[in-house]
Amino acid sequence: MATSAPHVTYGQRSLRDRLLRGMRRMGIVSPGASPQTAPPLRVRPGAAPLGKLALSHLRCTSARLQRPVDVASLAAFRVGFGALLLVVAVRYFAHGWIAEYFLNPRHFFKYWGFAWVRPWPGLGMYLHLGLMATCGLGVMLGYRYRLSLACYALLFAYASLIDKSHYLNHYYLVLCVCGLMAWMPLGGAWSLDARRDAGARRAFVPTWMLWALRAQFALVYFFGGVAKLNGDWLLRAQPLSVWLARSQELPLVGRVLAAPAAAFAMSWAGALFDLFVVPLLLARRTRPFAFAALVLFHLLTARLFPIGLFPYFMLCGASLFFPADWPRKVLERWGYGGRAGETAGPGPSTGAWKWALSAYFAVQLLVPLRHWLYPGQMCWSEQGFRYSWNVMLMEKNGSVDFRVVEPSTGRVFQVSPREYFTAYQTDMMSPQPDMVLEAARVIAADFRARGVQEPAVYADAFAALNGRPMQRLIDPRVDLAREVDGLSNKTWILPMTPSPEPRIASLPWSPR
Amino acid sequence: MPKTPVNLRRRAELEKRFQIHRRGTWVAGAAGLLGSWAVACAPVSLPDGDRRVALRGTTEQVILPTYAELRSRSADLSARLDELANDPEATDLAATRQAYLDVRAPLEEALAFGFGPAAELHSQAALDQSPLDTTKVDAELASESELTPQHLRTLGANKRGLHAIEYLLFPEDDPALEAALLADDPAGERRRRFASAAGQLVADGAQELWAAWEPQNGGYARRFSEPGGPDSASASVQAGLDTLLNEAVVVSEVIANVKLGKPLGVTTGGQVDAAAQESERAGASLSDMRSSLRGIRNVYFGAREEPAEPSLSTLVHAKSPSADLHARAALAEAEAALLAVPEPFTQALEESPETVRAAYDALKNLKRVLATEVLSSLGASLKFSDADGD
Repeated sequence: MATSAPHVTYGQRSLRDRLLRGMRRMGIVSPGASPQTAPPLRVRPGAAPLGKLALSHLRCTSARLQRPVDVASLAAFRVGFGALLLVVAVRYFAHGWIAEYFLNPRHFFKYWGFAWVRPWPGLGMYLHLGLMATCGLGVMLGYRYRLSLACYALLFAYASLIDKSHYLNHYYLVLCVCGLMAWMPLGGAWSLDARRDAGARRAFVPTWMLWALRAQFALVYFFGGVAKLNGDWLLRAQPLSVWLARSQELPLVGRVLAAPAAAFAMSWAGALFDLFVVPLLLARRTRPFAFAALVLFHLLTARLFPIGLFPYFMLCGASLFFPADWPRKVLERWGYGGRAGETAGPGPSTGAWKWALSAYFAVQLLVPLRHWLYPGQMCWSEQGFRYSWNVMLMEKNGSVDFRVVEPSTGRVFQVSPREYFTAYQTDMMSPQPDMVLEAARVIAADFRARGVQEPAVYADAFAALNGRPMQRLIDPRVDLAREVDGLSNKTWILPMTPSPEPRIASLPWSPR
Repeated sequence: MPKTPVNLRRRAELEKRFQIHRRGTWVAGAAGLLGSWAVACAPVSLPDGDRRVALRGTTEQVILPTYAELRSRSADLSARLDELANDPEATDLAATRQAYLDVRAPLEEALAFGFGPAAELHSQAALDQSPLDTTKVDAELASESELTPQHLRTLGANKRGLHAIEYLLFPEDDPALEAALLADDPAGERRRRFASAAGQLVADGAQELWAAWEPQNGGYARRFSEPGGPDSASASVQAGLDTLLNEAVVVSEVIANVKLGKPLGVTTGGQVDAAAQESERAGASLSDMRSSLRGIRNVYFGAREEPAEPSLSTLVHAKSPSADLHARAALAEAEAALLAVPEPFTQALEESPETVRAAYDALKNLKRVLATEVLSSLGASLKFSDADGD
């Protein structure tokens, strides 16, 4: 009889055996782990059977998440992720984005509470991005890993917070992943830190570290899939029918992509892929197929759409779903195996991580759902849109002009946003109501400075979403200079109305 | 139960076979992926699709003829101004003035494709910088400098170009100006020399622009209309279409905000400022605007006369009939609104500003339709950019 048998009731031993078998297969625990070495599952006497099972399950899970797991896959992830962090910074230099995004604009769209974040003067932003690149290299090589990562995260967060018009889902993902990695000793293997300091070497880390990163990437896929469960995506194949037609000149596949059926097929396939790729990656039998599909999907999106490094971050994240020792096995197969010099222990781990991680993922689960608190279509009002993994969800273009009225004299000034913002900022601002509001406040402040008393600012803002005819986005009667940006519903955003069926008519051609 | 050597051997064989099989699958899969990727990225020639034909058609039927017309009309103007300088008495001043107005039409139409060489050569500034610095021009006329094209080239763009010629030739109903221009004295001589030198620079600029586009010389026309090649101007057909559409949006806004809005005073609290118009002396402000609008329309319909197929219009129609309908309606309304503004523009600003306001609104509407529905229907400005991501 097993030593833990007295504590096990209601068939929990078989449950635990099954879990352990599954975890062995997935590489979460070492192959030698057995029910005998697992912590006992204690059940409080008198508890209801279901509660007992749930409680013991929770404890069991908690215990399992503290067990050691091979650091190899996380170290490999660190190398890949660090390389991408380096590329992110280098691209700013290569494309001239530092001047374009940080030095040329006269005004910036601020995030709440971060109005103090401004570009550094002079060569400051070049130094900032240069330091970011250095830190990215440090993460990749594992040189003073935690310092490099923390510095990168702070520098990148600062650069990202300068202007809301540069918000990107995967920049947010990078910050989330950096935040998680900062708590993990991933410089303990395959790093310069491990080379120069024997005490820093480690072969194992607690299992929760691997699962935290897996969960972070899983959330992107899951919420990305959930966001696609809407009529535009599934029933109108929008915006893919527009976007795929952009690539109809591609060899071999171009004509196929331009076909309406292809847009529908890829819309459905994309939604299903996002929803199910993570479970399929976690299951050993389906993992090779899921990974092949994932590689194909991301390379295809990288080729078809100008989405920068996003596919490569996701490919890097997908490597985490393989058994934790996969890089070591690959190296062993190539004749570079062994854990020479690495310590065997997982290192100190307190119980605090449980609470911190639970709170973090509770926020991560709730934030993407917050758009349900607002009326209307999220893609139209964009309330609750950011930080929600709404990836590649809409083709939305806007056009906005402002009217400034001086109440005391009745004078009206037509203002083009281009007088205040760059072309890129204007393009990004026009279809996003909260940015239109911010632009209105900037214009109001400028007119006040020019001596106009209590200027009222109205927006003639129009947008076209996913192939619909343009509609007014913002109530033109509302003085935006007096509106406050906040979490409450923005009543001045006009609801999207059903578009009438297009009428085909021939218009007279006026000869030259 | 201990395994027998036979079982172990068999298992080893199976594992070996399985391992080989699995490795083979991975290798084949990876090779397949890489192969597909390589094929997808390879520059394989394809039968031309509608979009490529539309891009080429717009280049050949709109852009090149417009620049050719600009070149020939500029040369004609330059020849007439030379004649004026050399033999003022024999010159038909009315024809010279008409030659000036004739140059403006293709120049304003060309605003709608002010990318590529036009941007690199700063052609709009070189040919038509506005406002003109009349004080400096007068100072130059009063000086003793030699008024050659070489000398004028050293002056700032706001002291030469078409508006400098306009300053010397117009207004038509100013006998004093005409007398000064035709005077048989050093001052008259210098005015004519200045006009001639400015005309030469305009002709040179137009010739330079044409040469930069001319397909026979391996010019920009081929690089623009054949995207995706090693020396192409655009990486893809879509990028070429994006360029055309975005330029159309910009020009529609320029007509509304600068050419109509500024004189109308919409940016200054309603104070009409006739001096803010670009061609007031020649009375060509409205015809300039109509030409600029015609440039947008030509690009959208892919032809300068009857609409061509395929064109941006037919491409938009294929994706969204309503967007094409709205764009055509907005173009027609803008044209009608501009035609409804009575000539001259200065008088219209004072006496019937409501017609100017209606034209302003119609141009704004055109810009909105182009910037929202038309761009959306062709996916011309994806809101995730290469800088970078979704």
